[in-house]
Amino acid sequence: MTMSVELELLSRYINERSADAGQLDRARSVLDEAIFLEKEQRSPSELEAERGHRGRGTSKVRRNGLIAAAVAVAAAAALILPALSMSKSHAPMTTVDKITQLADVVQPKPALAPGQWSSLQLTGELLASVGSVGSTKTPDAQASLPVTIAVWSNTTGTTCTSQQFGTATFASPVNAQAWASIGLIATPFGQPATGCVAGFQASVGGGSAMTPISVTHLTHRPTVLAQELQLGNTGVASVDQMGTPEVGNSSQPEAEAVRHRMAFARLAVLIVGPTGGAWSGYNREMLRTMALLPGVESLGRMTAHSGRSGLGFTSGTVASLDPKTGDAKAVFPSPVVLLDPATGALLEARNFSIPVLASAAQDFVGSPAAAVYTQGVSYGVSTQWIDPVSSPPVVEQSALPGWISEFHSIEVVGRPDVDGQALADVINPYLGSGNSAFDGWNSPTPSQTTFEITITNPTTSVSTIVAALNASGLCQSVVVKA
Amino acid sequence: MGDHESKGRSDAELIRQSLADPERFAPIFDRHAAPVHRYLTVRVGAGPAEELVGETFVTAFRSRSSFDLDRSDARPWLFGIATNVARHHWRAEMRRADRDRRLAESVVAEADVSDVATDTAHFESQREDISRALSRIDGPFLEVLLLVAGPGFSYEEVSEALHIPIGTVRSRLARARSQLRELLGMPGQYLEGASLEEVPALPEEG
Repeated sequence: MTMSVELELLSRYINERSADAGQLDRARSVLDEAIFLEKEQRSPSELEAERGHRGRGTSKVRRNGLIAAAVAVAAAAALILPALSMSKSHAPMTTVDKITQLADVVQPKPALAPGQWSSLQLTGELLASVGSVGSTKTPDAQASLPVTIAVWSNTTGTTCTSQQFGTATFASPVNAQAWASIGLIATPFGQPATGCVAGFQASVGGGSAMTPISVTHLTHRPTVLAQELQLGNTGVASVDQMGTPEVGNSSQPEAEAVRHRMAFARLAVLIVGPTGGAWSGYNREMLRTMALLPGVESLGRMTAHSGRSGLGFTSGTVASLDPKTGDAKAVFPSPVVLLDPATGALLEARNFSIPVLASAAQDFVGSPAAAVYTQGVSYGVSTQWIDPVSSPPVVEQSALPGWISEFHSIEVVGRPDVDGQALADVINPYLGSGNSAFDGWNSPTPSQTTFEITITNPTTSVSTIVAALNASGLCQSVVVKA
Repeated sequence: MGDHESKGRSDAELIRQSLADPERFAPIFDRHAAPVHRYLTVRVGAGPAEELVGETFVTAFRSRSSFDLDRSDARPWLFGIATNVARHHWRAEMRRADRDRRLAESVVAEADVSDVATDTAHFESQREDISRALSRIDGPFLEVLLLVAGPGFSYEEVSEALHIPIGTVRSRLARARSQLRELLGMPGQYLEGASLEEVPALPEEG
């Protein structure tokens, strides 16, 4: 058909409406889910036939992933057997439907205006277990540690945290005695621990607080993330390197069950956070990923420690066999995630390792002379439960704690061909090591870079740093933003 | 299936294979998602289009057993689904507008919320001549116009996509073009090439 002028104009107008990659990625992920779900519903014989048709490539990838996961082993169980509940290879449709529905209603991450911060508060209880000090086994040295965590994040990728442990509690006097005998104390020192992470590159600021999990480079596609969680190759080191049960000589189905369980545990960490660099649709995509994970089970209605009622999901339990007695014992309690049935919001998470709190027990070391300090120690920290606390999701700068005011953001437009290192050389004399981070983008010309410089705890005033930048001759403009 | 595996295979062949192996459907998305997205962006606006592209392809995937495998090109089928998805979106928007109208009669009295106005409301926010013109063309005519100007469909392909007779395609297109020219301030008789003989308005069929 020959086009007339008006059709030519219209054709050009339509073809200018090109989608960005992210938009089509999200649409593609919706289709991927539909494809995945249909495959999940097909009969085992059909799936087997398909596997045969597709050759060995996929299984080779899976094997490599399993080997990689095994290398990261932290636990030392000799033989792992999946419990009965893990015999199912994937979640029943009803569970998938429930999670998918929750994903559809979950609220997006709040959009922040300049000067605004997103706010998150968590309260929970950790279980710290010291397995040995030096060559001495200390199986009774266990304590419950109450913790409150607050996290604030802004639009430039700055995340500040405050974590405060309460007094340790013990299940029995034996535990209390064992705890004290190795030099640990019940009331932690130096609380709260605070600090900021500046920029998405996550260099740690002052204080000894946790470092949030940077999810900036996490895939936005649930189908891809579901695979990566199973293989432990999401690119988020603290998540990928979570302790994986030793699969030993277990059969392939058992090894797969362990992998499914680990995928769910990793996802629980991404859901709970605290995370830095999460995007608007992050919550929805995490739940869509959960719907795609094999082995996820619904636990029905459960009550969180806050008293709120939610829908519980888990991935089953993995048990180990004692190689000498043959007795089965559960050593890897499965994570449980409780979600608000109306909003899809996280109400509580239980029984999982939270990497950012792995060093929590160090705040309970009584003195540098304590046995746990001077001798080798093996210990683990797991989260018994952790709840988000209701709080305003967005706060203004004025509502932040005073210590965050030690954090500053400066926008610098460099002269042509000036790089971040040159600017770092200018400001480093005024900062401690690791107390600055750079985020840059080409603007206003291709040869120029605009830098977002975030600094924490400067040893001199910000105006002095600004003066140094201006005097360097490297900058076209310098503006203090926060 | 990687690009190299799907290359050279017709849409129909991929869809046929996807009946046994669902993943074979993915290249259909890779081939056609961009033009479908452009069509939906003009039809419903950029925000909803993103979601409706996903809905279009999921609907296509779930109903692929009904695809006529004798037709090698899946585009008319996909754009037909996209058109239905867009219509459904507008119906929902109209219901919402109607609900809002009942809640705020006084406001509605000042702002025109007729179906046509609601149907084209998104275009009003785009301050370009063409989008303003498109906002004044009724849905059934606009659909034909966009399918011809966007993916470059023939009358037969538009007919197949919208399930309307070819004569109806011709008459709707003629009227839509005439409206568009008028709204763009073009001379009324400014036509050229093969389009000329399609202009005489035919009675609506079907």
